[in-house]
Amino acid sequence: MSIWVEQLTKYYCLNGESIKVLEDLSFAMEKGEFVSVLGPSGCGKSTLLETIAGMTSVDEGNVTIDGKVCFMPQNDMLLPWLRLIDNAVLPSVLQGKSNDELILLKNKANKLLPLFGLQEFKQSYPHQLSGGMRQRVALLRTYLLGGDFWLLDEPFAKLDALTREELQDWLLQVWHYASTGVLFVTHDIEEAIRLSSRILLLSARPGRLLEEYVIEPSLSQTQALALKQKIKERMSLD
Amino acid sequence: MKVKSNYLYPLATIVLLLVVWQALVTIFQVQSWLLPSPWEIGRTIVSKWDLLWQHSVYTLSEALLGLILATGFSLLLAFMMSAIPLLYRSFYPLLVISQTIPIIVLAPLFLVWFGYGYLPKVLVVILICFFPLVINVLAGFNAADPYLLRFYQSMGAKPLQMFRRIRLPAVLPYFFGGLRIAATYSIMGAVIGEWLGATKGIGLLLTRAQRSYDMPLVFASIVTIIFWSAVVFLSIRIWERLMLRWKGEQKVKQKTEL
Repeated sequence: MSIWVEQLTKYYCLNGESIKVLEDLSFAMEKGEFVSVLGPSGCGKSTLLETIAGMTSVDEGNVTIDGKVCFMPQNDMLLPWLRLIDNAVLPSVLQGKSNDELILLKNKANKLLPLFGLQEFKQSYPHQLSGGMRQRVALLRTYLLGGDFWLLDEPFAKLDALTREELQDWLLQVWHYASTGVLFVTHDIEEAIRLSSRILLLSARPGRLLEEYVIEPSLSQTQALALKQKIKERMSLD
Repeated sequence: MKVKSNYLYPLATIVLLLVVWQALVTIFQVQSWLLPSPWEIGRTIVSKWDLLWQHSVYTLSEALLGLILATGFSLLLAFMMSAIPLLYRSFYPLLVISQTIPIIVLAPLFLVWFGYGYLPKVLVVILICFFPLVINVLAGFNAADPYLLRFYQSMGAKPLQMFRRIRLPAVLPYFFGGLRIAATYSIMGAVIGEWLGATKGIGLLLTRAQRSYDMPLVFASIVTIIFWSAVVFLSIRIWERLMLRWKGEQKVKQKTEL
């Protein structure tokens, strides 16, 4: 199962003016891969995910998906009047699934709570949860959709450094467990190096593919630092 | 501690004002037909309890019926206005203009059209309660985050489910904000309706007492109106708290304080 993006160009309409956000972008990824899309703010990373998720249309080029994609926007999209579990199964409720199916799904969600570190918060409303917890609930919701690919849009951008590191480790753990493909958008170079097996570096708007980096799993501290430096230099060159 | 002081300060202020009032009336020996003392008002309330209660029941029923009808009607109109843009554009200005017509001018017209009975009073209440409800509920229907709606739509959400699970609950805080304002006005609306001609009700009692310079009874009626308005307001506040438990206590306060 894979995602193919071929020569994708995307425009955004702002005050009647058409702005090019993505230009001639091509890449492919397989299920089981963890790919980061790295680039400066406003380079069209979110638009890329929205396009793959089918929230907006393709202007030029092709997006082909073999498998099911599940999108998790930057904002957690939790409804404040639903408790944790109900938020997690919300997409299925909205799809009008039968009660039996929903009960099964809730059971599944309950079993997953320890993996997501949410066990004690089962009965909580979103406002009672911290930012990190809310992102975990959002990911649980994404997980329960049972997709082959997760499209994650800067899930940790709003969190403090300590929580972010903790959640990065946790995300890798969940990813191994779920064995999906992850397309991870971020503007944080270290985060991209730490998490992914491949980095797609985008330019400033309109986003073009500048470079692709394959990251060895056995990367040492010094190698990681060198790679970070290299990416930084490449970004400043643009 | 915080909750306690929320009640403590206004209560203390009221008590202080009553003491000052009582003292002034006693010291300057103000005649009771000019300004009765709080003590005398209290005595009147106790002695004329039956009378006040009888008329209260009538006024209360007018106010509540009007409030309920206004609620149903405004929910329906707000929903249709939010669903059909043409309706919104045609009715919104009319709604605002309708609020500039003084109710005191309309009420005598109702009297001419519908007589001295129950109906014109209920109509006045509906007219007064309608506006804050429609405006608030409309704001609630427009408040749902378009991105969130689009996000769940892209996941194959059914329109009916979207309405039930997302748009309707999002309206609730706004609805209660409007309902609280409407509720406080409802008793007043009924009283205004009764002023102009009625066979029963606190408003009638008030005008009669005024004409016979029975000031203690005038003030006793005013206290009764305040009391019932507070009861209606607080009942709705409790209902709101129950329905909006998902909001933190603090948040409910910040967002919907009058």
